[in-house]
Amino acid sequence: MKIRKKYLLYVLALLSAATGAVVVSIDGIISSLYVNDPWELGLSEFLVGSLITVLLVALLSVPIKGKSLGSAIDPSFSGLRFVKKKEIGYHVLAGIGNAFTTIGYFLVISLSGGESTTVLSFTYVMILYMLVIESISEKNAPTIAEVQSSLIVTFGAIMASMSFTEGINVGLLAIVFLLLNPTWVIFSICQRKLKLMKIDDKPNDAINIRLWNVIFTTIFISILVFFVKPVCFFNAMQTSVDHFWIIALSMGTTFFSYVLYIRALGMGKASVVQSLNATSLLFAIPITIYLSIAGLITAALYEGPAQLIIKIIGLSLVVLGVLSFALSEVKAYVFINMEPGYPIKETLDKIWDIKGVESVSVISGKHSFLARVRTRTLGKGYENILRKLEAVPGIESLKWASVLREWDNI
Amino acid sequence: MAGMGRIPMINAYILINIRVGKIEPIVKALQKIEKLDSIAVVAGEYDVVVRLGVEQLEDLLEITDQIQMLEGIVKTNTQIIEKEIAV
Repeated sequence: MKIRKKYLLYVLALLSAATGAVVVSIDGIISSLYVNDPWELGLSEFLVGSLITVLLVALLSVPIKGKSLGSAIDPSFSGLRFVKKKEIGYHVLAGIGNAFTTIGYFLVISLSGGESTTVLSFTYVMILYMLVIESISEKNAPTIAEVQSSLIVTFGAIMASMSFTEGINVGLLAIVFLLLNPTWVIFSICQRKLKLMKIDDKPNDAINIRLWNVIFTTIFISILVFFVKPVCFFNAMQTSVDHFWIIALSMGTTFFSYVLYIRALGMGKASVVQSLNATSLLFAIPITIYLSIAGLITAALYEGPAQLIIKIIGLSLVVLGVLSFALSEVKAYVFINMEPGYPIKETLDKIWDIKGVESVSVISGKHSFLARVRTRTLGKGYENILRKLEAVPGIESLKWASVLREWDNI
Repeated sequence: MAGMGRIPMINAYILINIRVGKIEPIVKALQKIEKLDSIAVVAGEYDVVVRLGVEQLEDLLEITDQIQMLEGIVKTNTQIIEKEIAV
């Protein structure tokens, strides 16, 4: 095993986290110094962002030694392509979700005075929503560990945003809980569905998903701003021209943060990458302190030792909550044997449709299929995976092998 | 995920049974084999599940042979992947 590659994974995930913190900080500066209206800023970011993203993807499509430059980032990427018919539904939903998320995000930036630690900690509250949606839609009761982690993140984020002089900002919390996170959940679910799709028999690539998401989001955010705040619609055109370079810097950095994240995901375990990504909060602290002292953001970060301690406790809780959520999982292999007379391809699809199945392989040898599964607890593994596998017609026997320890060649 | 930069044509799982008390040294020896994508110590019928990607069957034979030569291996069971869906 090459230890160098392991370090590369950490470097990529941490770079993604750091660039994520930089993006929020740049947005904080733009909001504090140039464009305070969240509607105007949201639209101009996407107008400039569309152009920047198309240019970057076109650059990544340049072939070098028979392969596109972007294939080094995502091996499934073979060049800029048009959106496929089967992707449109999810792209539309993701675009609508992202348009509302963007407005919510800039409202939070504006209300928090460009303070990135507050904004970032609120984005992790999404875990709570994911859990609630899963509980309702799949009648899947969350485990104590899941409830614990999501509440730690939520309370941590609220603590991190508290101010002694201004008290609790109810408007800010309402935007976070009623707009930012619910629409972000829609966006994330659609992005995941798109990533799981096969395009021309290859896994869908992250670069084209990102490109088309930016384009669809631009369309929906334009419609949204045009009908809700028509003045901002026209102002945004001017803002895009007036502040082109700083907005381009924000959207260009967002693209690279996203790409680094996907590249890291391709090299190592998702849980590790997600945990490392939560460290963007820690990167945001020194940046925010610097911006606050330099007067580049309007937020007053330091109100006294008590407030600072509460803020640090809040931020630590968010990081710990995300860490424990990402790392408390049970993984297993399930060896499956089939009775003769059942179609292999259809059975493969039925196994793949079971939630928690990470990969399923048709294998030649003693067993018919080998499924790699991931679940929060063994009890849930039985309820959600084994019982559903037993219900698939043609399955003769199942053998569950819990992973006790594993090593990946990263 | 398979190592970046190389596109294996044949992917396979090798299911390994190991003599009691030999898991740790065998896992250490497996970690030194370059072409293995993942090594998992599991509970159940097998002791270790190894995943690998090779360009030709000859390489698979070579790696299986390398594993079988390790002190403490009771049995190996190679399962070639014919089709796969993965996240």
